[in-house]
Amino acid sequence: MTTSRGDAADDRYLLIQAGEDQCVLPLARVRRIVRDLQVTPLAGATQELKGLAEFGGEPLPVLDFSRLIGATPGANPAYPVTVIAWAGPAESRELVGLQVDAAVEVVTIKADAVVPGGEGIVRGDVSLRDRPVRVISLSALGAGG
Amino acid sequence: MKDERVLLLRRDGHLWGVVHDAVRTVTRGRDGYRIWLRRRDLAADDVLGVIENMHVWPAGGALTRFWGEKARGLAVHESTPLVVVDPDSPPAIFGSDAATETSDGHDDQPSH
Amino acid sequence: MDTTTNPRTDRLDASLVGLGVTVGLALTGLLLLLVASARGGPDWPFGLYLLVAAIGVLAYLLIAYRDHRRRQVALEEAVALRGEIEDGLVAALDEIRAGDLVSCSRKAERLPSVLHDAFVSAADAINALAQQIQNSSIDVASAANSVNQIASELASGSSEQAASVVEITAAMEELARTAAQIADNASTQADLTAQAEASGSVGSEAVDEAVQGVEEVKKRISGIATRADTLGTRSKEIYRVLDLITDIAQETHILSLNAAIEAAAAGDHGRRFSVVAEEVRRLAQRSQESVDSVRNLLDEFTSSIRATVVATEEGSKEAARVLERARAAAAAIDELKSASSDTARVAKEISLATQQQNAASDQVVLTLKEVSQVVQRMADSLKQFSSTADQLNDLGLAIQLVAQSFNLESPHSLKRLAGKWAAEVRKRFGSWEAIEAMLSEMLADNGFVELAYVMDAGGSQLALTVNEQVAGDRDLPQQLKSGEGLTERPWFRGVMREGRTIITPVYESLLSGEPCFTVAAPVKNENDSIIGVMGVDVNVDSWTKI
Repeated sequence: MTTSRGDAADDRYLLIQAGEDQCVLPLARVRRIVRDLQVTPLAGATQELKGLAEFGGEPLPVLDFSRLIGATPGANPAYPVTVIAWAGPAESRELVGLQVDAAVEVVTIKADAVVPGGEGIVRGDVSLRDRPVRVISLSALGAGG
Repeated sequence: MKDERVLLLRRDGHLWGVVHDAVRTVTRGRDGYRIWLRRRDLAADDVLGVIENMHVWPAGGALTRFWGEKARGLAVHESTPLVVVDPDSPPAIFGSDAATETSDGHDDQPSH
Repeated sequence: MDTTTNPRTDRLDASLVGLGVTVGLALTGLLLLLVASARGGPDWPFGLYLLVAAIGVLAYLLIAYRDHRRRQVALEEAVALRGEIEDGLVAALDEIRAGDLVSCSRKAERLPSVLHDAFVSAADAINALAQQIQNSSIDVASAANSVNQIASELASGSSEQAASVVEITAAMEELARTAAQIADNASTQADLTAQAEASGSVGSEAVDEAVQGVEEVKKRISGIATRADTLGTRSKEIYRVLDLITDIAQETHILSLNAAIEAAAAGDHGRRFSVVAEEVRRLAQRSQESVDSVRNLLDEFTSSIRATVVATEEGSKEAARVLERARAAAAAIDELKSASSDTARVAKEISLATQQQNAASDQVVLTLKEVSQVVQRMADSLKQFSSTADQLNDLGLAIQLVAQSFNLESPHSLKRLAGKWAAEVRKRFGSWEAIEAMLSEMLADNGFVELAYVMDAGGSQLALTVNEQVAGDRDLPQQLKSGEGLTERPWFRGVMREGRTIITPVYESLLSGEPCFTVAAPVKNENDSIIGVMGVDVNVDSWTKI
């Protein structure tokens, strides 16, 4: 697999829907989009952690993305998907599953179009088709994130 | 990630693993199994067996951040993901009691 | 006075002695004469005889004189005694004449015992008889009052009866008029019913045709509903296909995204692949949009079908309702026709019955009129009876007043009561306050007294007390207040003249305006002289109710 040059250099993102909010994930961090991923609940987990799943023989934690970013709740999603992505710093990244309401499309966003801001895994905001979209940094997710 | 010998057990309806090296003995009583470790003993509902050369992936920051328990790692058994517990700090659901250490360095434990 | 001599015996004794002496002397003289003659003897026997005879005659004269004198004295005494007896008897009889059966016995004390006993017995018998009459008069008055009341009630009741009969008669006449009206209406009803019967037949045919039409409509609606159901089933199948296509579009979409991800991971080598992935994504999007469009159209179509189904169901229900109503109308018309026939028959029967009722009502009215006349005659008789009862009442009162003319030792005797009250006035004479207090107490104890008053012998009013229950709020008449002209009143003059209690006839009271009479008694001092007059006005109605 070709290693991405890093989030900041790559200008392609996956646009996802989380509740009423739209977010973009760095495409280089996205491994796969799957539907109907079987999730095994984990006793003692927080509300963000839906449980564990298996993808390609590899175990990974599955997170509720809308809760993760505090998104405004929306209508029940018609076709929810799980975005399997690498989280954490590049040198110690781990696979996680992110349950989202929909995976919309792949978009190109220039780095200078991003207005820095936000907290946690939200890196900043960008306007996409006259609509505010949050820019996510998955490297902030994981230990210390 | 490394391959390990893992004892598979079931507790609270979920599949768990314990590295076999940490297991001293396994006993069975009226209320289930008891997994005797070096410094702990774990209560289990069922013991499935030992898997040789099971891939154990590191637990990762996301799990640690959103679970709150320590884990040795994650594994998959027959498409079912599971947590391989830290033998020195198992999750609370195992009802683990610290075993006392004798003067000769061995723990008090029932013989099997 | 008790004379033990018997003048008749004395007279008889003297006469016999005289006769005896005279005869003896005569015989003796004759004998002597004969002897003398016979003997032709001396005269001296004859002289002796004459002497003796003279002595005898003198003795006789003495005796006779003494007897005569005695008789004369006895005669004078007897005359005197007779005078006393006469006075006593007259005085006692005067009391009886005045009706005072209490004082008459006292007056008879001067009479000889035998006469006194006989008089007292007679007075007691009269007293008892008078008391009996007084008591009986009270009973008569009470009975007369009761009869009067009953007569009044009967008269009142019969008047009410007469009024009721009049009302009933009027009601019966009204009933008769109503019955006649009903008869007319029933006849009209019969005619109308016949017309309705004819109309009913026409209506029944029309309803039958309407029922057939509605049934036809119902069948057609049912056919439409069936076809709508079929369309609904087809649209469900189309929805399933659309869901499948949507699913495929979604999978394709995800596939395109994953392809783009892989293309990105492939770097430059994946650029052309990413283009293909983008095309696939767009294709999936267009498919989804088409599916959405078809879905929208199908939604509209399904909505229309549903509306059509609902409309046909409603139509079917409505048709069923109309059909049911039409059938009900047909049944109702049939019933109406039947009822009309019955109504016509019943109307005729009603007309006949009311005509019969009319005749009966007329008879009842006639009978009621006769009853009314009888009741009216009864009412008139009762009025007359009531008048007779009034007369009886008056007669009872008159008898009572007659009985009261006696002064008796009886609690019912007004003269006795008045005498006692006068005696009490006498004790207080000189103090008008004490007299008025006594009179007030007397009035309180005797509710039948309207007024009580005391005059002196000169006719001046000393005290006047009014019974407040009788007077009420009325002002005292001026004549009573001033006390003027009372000396001319019959009761004052009567008392002053006769010196005893009198009772006046009934008159109208100045105070209450009701019938009353006055009982007036003399107030006498220790010398039995009249020093005043006490009068009480007795209310007749109150007194007779005691």
